[in-house]
Amino acid sequence: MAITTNCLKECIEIILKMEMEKKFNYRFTDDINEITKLESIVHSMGEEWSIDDKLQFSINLVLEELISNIIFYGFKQKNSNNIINLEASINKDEIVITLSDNAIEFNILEQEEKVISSNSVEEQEVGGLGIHFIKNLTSFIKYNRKSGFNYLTLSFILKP
Amino acid sequence: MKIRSKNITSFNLFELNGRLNQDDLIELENQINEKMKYGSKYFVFDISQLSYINSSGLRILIKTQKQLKLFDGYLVLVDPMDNVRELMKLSELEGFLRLRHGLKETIKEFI
Repeated sequence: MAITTNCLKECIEIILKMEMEKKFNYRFTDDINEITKLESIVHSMGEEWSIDDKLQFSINLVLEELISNIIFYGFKQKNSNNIINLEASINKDEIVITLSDNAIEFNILEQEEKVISSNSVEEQEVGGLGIHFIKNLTSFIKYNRKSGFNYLTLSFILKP
Repeated sequence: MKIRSKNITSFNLFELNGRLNQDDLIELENQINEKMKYGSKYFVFDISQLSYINSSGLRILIKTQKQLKLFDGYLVLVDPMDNVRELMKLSELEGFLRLRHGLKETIKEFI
């Protein structure tokens, strides 16, 4: 069977993609002190994948807002069966992070993002800031609920 | 020490350093409330060494600014690092939180 140029090109792209894709996994408990580990986790990712400081800051902030929200409000009671998994991977264009947890159902895409500004802040209760940051510091968010788990996939675009 | 505060005649100076975790934020809020309880109206936050802040930290600053305004007071934030400044820009609160450049110059505003 002859290998066409297109097929060869596709094969090379897949091999290159596989070469570039690396994974990072971490499991958090439902203890809020776990948040302090995020700094070193994201720093390790940054070192391993040569992520600039600005993107590390964004990833750290988004993960902190999400994970602390799960720990504070997601579990009915503290329990060693409470699970929060983080899986991160990188390809040539982006960092993709999936958080999966067995907390109560929570679809961030359905949450109101309160737009606040210097003009209106005095009349408003300050809420929804964390959601505002999560939605604005990521380039893509997908949510699924399956078998008692929330799956939240986030993408952070790498600078060319 | 991540949070240091000093009473200087007409204002309170806070220095925030590094990353503020949950316990630090509780401590910060307590210190602010304590100063306000004794009638302090002007707060200067030197955040030139603050490398990270989350939405809870920002909420404390916003809440403080709102409370101080009720007594014709205000707070200013001096020399935020780029990432922290970007976050304030993203939350569209740069104006409300009164960002300033240079601690010495800022202090002159209060004496």
